[in-house]
Amino acid sequence: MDNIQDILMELAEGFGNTLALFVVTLLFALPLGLLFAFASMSKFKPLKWFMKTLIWIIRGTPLMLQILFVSFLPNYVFKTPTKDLAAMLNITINETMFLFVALAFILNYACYFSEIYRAGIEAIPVGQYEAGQVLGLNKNQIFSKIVLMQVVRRILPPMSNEIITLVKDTSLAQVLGIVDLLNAAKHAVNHYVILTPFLYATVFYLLFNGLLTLLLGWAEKKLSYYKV
Amino acid sequence: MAFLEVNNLYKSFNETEVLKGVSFEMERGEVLSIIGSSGNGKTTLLRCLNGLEMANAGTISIDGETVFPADGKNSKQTGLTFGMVFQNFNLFPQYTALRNVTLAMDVQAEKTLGKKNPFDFKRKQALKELRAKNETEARLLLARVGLENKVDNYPCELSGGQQQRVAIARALALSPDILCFDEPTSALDPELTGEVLKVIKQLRSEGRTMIIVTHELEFARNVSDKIIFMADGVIEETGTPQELFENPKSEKTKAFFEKLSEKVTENDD
Ligand SMILES: Nc1ncnc2c1ncn2[C@@H]1O[C@H](COP(=O)(O)OP(=O)(O)OP(=O)(O)O)[C@@H](O)[C@H]1O
Ligand SMILES: [Mg+2]
Repeated sequence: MDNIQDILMELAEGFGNTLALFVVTLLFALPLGLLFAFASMSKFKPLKWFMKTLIWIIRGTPLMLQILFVSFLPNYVFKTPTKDLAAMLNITINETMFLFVALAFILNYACYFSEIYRAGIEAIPVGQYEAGQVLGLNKNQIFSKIVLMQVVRRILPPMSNEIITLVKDTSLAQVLGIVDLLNAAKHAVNHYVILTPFLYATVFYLLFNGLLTLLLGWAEKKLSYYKV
Repeated sequence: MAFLEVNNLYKSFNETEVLKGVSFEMERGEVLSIIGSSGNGKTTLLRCLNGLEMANAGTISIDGETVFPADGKNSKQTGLTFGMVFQNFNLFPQYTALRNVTLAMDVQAEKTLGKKNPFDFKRKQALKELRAKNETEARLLLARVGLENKVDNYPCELSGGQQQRVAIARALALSPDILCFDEPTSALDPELTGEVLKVIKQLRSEGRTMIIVTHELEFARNVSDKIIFMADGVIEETGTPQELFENPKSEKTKAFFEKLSEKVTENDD
């Protein structure tokens, strides 16, 4: 019975890493995705095609491959072994690994988000921009005061989907040895030779996603005070 | 020199020539209607006036001042010289009727106060006062279009006629020199056009300068000082309602009216 407490502690620690990766990814990928969306709609053709190609590559390959690619990049391209990189950044090897994973996640999710943003922005009728223009608003004001809110409302449902998927994708972090929730459960299963840790992990995931679903559903409801 | 002078406006989209040298003028306080069959460039003309579209050639001047082609300085101003009421309203769905009207006023207020600075409390106070003033003014405007009871409603909660009246109040909020309407009633159910036309008539009695593109010929006849008949990207004929309706000179104008009356009799059968 003492095991349960130990197992839950280990799982909680793993969940901490899962949560950290989740938060960091959202924190950076949400704004970066908007930037990517603007780039992919840019009138400057080279930027537009660069962005479209990047999005195509990222969406066309497994996230796990992208994580491995990022982790090999310093060593193979810049001839800097992970060890040296960690020393340079003054962080542990584990933290460096987390950095690699986070970078891959941010890039990957920014690309997915950018497509959602783009669809949302393109769905806003041109009349909204024109109304803003004849009322003397400049481009930034039109975006921030008129378009943005409508875009947020439109994209919240597909965004919620991606965010729930992100929770589950975090388990891919274990390819670089990060002890996330699932990895911690696996260790426990092997160590104590019982299957219950998987069950606990399942409960963790479900609770977390349930909470997120409630939160996002609430936000969606809040924003649905008007019809289009 | 007339208040508004439009000279030889040309506009084409790729290969299609839409405006082929449009010139007209109008005085302050006049109401000018533009009629003509579909696809003749009426909307395009309005859009060239208010800066939504750039004419390829020609000039537009107001009160002797050239507003197009812009010399950089006053290029932003065209939007405020010409107010615009769209065919399909284009209200901002996420804002109440009141906020739809105050939004642009508040943006202008911020502009007059200069640069933002989080510690400039004087500016904040001034902005607050200006906003309160704008709100009072917006309520008055909404009352003038008969919507004093709808200030807190969202566009989706309003009928088409009410939405269009909010759009008119919104355009009036910036006190434009000339208010333009692009078929303000053609997206409305027939029983709702009356309330919008009534507001436009009321604006006329207040001495507003207005340009109205419309298919409501009876209305154009009643409300206009001058009517322009457009055909094939040029102004085919200009005149007072009487001149145009009772004594059209151009063959095309005659044909236009004849076709319409045919349609009316057809519908009567
Ligand atoms: N952005 C555009 N790109 C290409 N062609 C355009 C564009 N805008 C208008 N046109 C063309 O210009 C012509 C005139 O259009 P416009 O909308 O000005 O006509 P209109 O007189 O307002 O017609 P209606 O009475 O049906 O509103 C049409 O043939 C239209 O196809
Ligand atoms: Mg038109």
